[in-house]
Parts: sequence; structure tokens; C-alpha cells
Amino acid sequence: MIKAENLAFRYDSYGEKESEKVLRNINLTVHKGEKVLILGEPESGKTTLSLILSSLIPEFVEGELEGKVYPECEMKDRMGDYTLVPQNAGEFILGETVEDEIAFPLESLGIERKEIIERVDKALSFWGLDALREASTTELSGGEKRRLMLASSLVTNPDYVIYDESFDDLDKGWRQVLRDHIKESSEASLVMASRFLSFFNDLFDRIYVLEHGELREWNGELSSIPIPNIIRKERNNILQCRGISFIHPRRSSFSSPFVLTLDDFSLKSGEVVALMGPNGSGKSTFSRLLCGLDTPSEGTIILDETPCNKERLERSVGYMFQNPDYQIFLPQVKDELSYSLSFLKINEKEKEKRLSETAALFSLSLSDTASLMSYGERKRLQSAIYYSLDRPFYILDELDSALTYKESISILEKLSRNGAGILLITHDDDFASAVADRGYRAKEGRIYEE
Amino acid sequence: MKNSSFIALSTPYYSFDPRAKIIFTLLMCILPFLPLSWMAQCTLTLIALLISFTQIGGKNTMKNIKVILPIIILMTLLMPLQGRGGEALWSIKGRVIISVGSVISWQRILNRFLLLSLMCSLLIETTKSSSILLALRCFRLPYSVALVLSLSLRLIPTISDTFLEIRDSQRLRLPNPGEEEAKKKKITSLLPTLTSVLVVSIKSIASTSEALELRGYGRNNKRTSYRSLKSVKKVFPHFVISVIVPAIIGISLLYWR
Repeated sequence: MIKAENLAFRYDSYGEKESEKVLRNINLTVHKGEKVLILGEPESGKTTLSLILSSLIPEFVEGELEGKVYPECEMKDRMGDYTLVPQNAGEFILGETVEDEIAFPLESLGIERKEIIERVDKALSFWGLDALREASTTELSGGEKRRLMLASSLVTNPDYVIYDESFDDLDKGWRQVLRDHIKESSEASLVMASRFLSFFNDLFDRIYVLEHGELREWNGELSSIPIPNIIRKERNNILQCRGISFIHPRRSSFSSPFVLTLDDFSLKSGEVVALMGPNGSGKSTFSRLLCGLDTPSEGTIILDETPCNKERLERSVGYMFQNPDYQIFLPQVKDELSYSLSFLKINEKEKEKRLSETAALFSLSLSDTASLMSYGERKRLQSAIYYSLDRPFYILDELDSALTYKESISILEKLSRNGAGILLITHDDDFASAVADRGYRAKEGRIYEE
Repeated sequence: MKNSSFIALSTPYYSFDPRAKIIFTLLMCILPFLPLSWMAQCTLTLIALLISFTQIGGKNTMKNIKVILPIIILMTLLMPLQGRGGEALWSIKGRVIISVGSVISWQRILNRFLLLSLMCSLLIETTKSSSILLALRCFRLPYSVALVLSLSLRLIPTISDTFLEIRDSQRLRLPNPGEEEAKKKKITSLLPTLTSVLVVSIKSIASTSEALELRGYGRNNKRTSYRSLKSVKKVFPHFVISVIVPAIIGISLLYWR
């Protein structure tokens, strides 16, 4: 069984601010075969709780832990029976290739080679990773990494599984596969989630809500969060693509190269256009072409009726990466926001004015240390940087991942207030249909309008 | 574009046993330290280049050379100027600027550096790290050391990927066309990119430790292995080739004056 008694946790504080308790008085028991859901907004403490229940906190993370957790032994000693599917799939991959990653825990358990081969084959097939078995783990897309994490965590056939936001990054089809697995398997499943609630109907024995660090049982209906409409202003730019094709070779395996094709695409000022599709279907590849980071093998990208080169695209289409840490590199919020403004032909007074306005708009404190801010705050800072650049077009790569709907919509509203055209990449149908005017779909390397 | 140290091709060197490859690489790396003439040293480097060109292709070989090019340029600029003694190759007003001895010393070190880099890159790019580690464990390398090596081999391309992604994303922070100040700043300079790489890399230390714990590293039971190497009997010719070829090259070059 998994059990927490009077659990409380506070991270060690850095600097002057004393950190608050992330979890307070948590009492939870998951018995064999039970299915339990813990719902909570991003940064409500779900990951912290899953790491504590897996004994990874306090061993690897510094902080003050109160209360008791059962079983008390270290994770490595109970890994045959218990497992955690971590939220940040990319950061937990150890193996060089997909098959090596899946085999690693079985090797640790000392299972015979013949059985390891059988189990690896089965896991690869179940999670649709057959074609990628020899591929380097660095070459996988976000969704493929998530499936790999599920495969390597579940290959030991554990009795207790903690799924930390494991439905994130998966497309609709794979979310259904995961749902079916949880429903049909005999394992006890503790699922931590903040969205995709429509997938959870009739799946769980008990549902809890984690709010302000406290856990309370929930007996109400599960329904998707209502989404308000966003307000947009007009601008007169248009970004188009005609007859695009791009070949992306896989360097580390013999599987055929990924080919992206697109006949026609357009994004006008003031529009919010969704780009949806299964994992590995070409959404990120297309985004890189659209913002000039890669050049198509064939076809043209046209900006305001003129064929556009790489350099012009780089400065016209703002591509907000999923990971904000790739775009934040200066010590303080003030430094980050000033850096973008320092390129502009405006006087110091105007720069100061824009700096304080932008910080206020995105609820940021100019003196905060960027690398010590929470994920949501870092995401807001990343958005503020792009807001201050005032691009005519933006690509938002899974903006809604690990943010609340409210926060995602607030960022969308701010970025589109000057009439920018926005391409929104998301796996969340509810979110896309609520905020987008129209949509494109990516499927096996082909992108088409829906 | 994503990086990985292994390059999937099907040239003969790929089918070579990893243990034999390690022996071959070690012996080839010893050769430039033999008392060879400068011509023999250069010939040896050319042989290594030829092996690399034929086995992983010209493009990949050039890519490997490009990585070490800044070091080669620095060596070429600074080393010949260091040794001022002996016969003068270039002097100004009787003062020796570059001596014959310093040029010979430069070419010797340059040849050794090139050969070592080419042979080690060839080993890593034609063999999966798991196979290299299995081979090293056959040579009695403890598992903990093998795992550290394995993680390093995996992390080098990961950090390189992170570096490229960060550089790309920072390039996208340049101002809109026409809004830039006359004096351009270089946003993609090395320092901000390296700072971000450092932050991302430091953050990954904790998650790597957690991943090792989750995957059962350090358990008391004996570890098994998913991959296996062929028996020495089956690949004996590989071992013979891995010893004989460097031996023939070494002996021929030693006697070439």
C-alpha cells in the first residue's frame, strides 16, 4: 500500500524570502488495485507529493519533511513493486537508445536476458515505439519521450504506480491507451492531473483535490474548465506557406527520414489558429520552418505577399519554446526585459516606461531572480520578453502545458492585444476549440486545414 | 537538429566486435608516440583520415575535424613561436623567430592530436555506447565506472542539443526589422548561451540522480545485461586484424626513413 500520514513539506529557502509549506497535513492511503485521482492546478504540489511518496524527497531534494510515508524503504529497493512515471520525461531518461532505456530497470532487477528481451519487445509494441527501438533518446519528440517513460516505468509490472501528469504531451489516441491501461490493469494507480478531465469519468474509485497544499476528497462531477473568449485587435499582416516540403533525417538509426509536406497555410493578423496532431507528426518541425530556424527543402514562405528569407522570418515570427529556461539567461527579471528593449531605437525614458509597464502587465517583480522563480512565473517572463518585442506573429508551443487555463488565456490575450496572429500548438481539444478561430492538423508529416 | 554520438551506417567497421575496436583504437593511438620521422607521422595521420573517410564518410569526418579546428588553429599560431633554440627557419636581424625544431615539434603534436581525435571519434560514432561499455566491462571495468562513462557519452550530445536549442531560441529575440538601433549587439554571443546551458545542466543533476534511483541503480542484487557480445571464438579474426593491422603500419613506418 501507499500511505502518507500527517505529511507536510517546505522547500529550503534561498535568499531573503522564506519558502512557504508546499504541502500541509496530507493523509492518503492507496490500497492494492485501487484507482485514485489527485486533481490540482499546476504548481499546487502534485509533483512534490509524488516525489515524497516515491521516497525521492528528501533524499535528492533539500527541504523540511514532517509526517510519515509508507513503505519507508528507498525507491530502488521497492522498484519491482512500486514505480513513478515522472512529469519531466526528458530529464529522467538515462539510456542512449529507446530499447536500452526500457531494459535498464529490468537489468537492475537482475532478470534473465531472455525475459528482458521479451518484455522490451512487448513494451515497445504496446507503446508504439517499435520503429524507434534503436533511435537515440535525444531524437524523440515530447510525446515519444512520454511514451518511453511510460514503457520503461511499467515494464517491471509494478503493483503500485504513481502517474505524475502522464496524460500531458500525449495525443488523444495515446491518452485513450493510457486510460484503458489504468482501467484494465490490476495495478493500484495514483494519478496526478490538472487537465484532460473528460478522460477520467468512471475511472477512479476516489478523487481528491489538492489546493493550497491541502488534500480534500471530491465527490462532484468531473467537467472541463470553462474557457472565456479572448479579445483581439486588427492588424494587417499575413503569413503564408506554399508547397512546403522538408526532410529531417534520423542520424542514429536506420529508420526512414521524417518528411514534412504542406500545400497551403495562412495566418492573418488577429487570428488564433490551432495546430493539433499526434506526437511526432511534424508540429515542431513546421514551427521551426515558420520562424526561420530551418529552411524548407522546397516551397516558399510568404510574408505580406513577399517571399521571406530566414533572417526576416526570425525577426517577424516569435516562437515561444515549450521550455522557458531556453530563453531566460540573465540574473534578474529587470535584466531580461531590458535586454530585449536595449536593441530598440527608443530613448532611455521610453525604455524605462515600457519596462515597468511590461512587468506590471505580466505581474512580475523586476528585482526577482529569474532562475529561482516558479515555472508559471518563468513562463510569464518568457511571454513578457516576446510581448516587449511586439512581433506580428507568434507560435506558442504547448503554452497550456503546466499552466492553468486562466494563465494561458491571460498570456494569449496580452500577446494578441496588438493584433498579432497566433499559431497555437496544443494537445488539448477543449482549449483549442475555445480559443482558436480555425485549425490545422498534422498527421504523419502532412499538415492540412481542418 | 538533434545530435547523437552514434551514426547509423553499414560500413565494415560497424560489424567489427567492440572489444576488437577498442584494442585497434588503443594500438593506433600508441603509434604516433613511436620515434617516427615527420613524413611517417603525416602518413599515419593520413591513414587515420582514410579509415575515417571510408567508414563514416567525408561529411562526418569533416564535422569531427571542424569541432577541433579552433584548437588546431591556436596550436598552429602559438606553438611554432615557442621554441627559439636550434637552427633558424625564420629570423629577423639575427633573432630567431621560428626554429626548425619548433616546427617539427608542432607537426608532431598536431599529428598526434589529430590521430587521437579521429580514432576516438570513429570508435564512438560507429559503436553504441552500451556496446562500448559492455566491451569495457569485459576488460574488467567496474559497473559504476562504466555507468559514469555511459552517462557522460549520453550527456555530451544532450548538452550539445541544449546548446543549439538555446542559441536558436535566443536568435529569435532579435528586434523586428527596422526597429533595431544602428549599433547592433550580438545576442547569440557565447556567454548568454553558455549561461543558459549551465542553468539547464545544473538543474538536470538532481533529476539524473532521481532517475538512477527510480531505475534501481545501486540495488544489492547482481545486474543482468540486455545486450551481449559474441563469444571471442566467433570474432577471433576481428581480434587478429585489430592487432596485426596497427603492427604492420607501425613497423613499416618505423623503418621508413
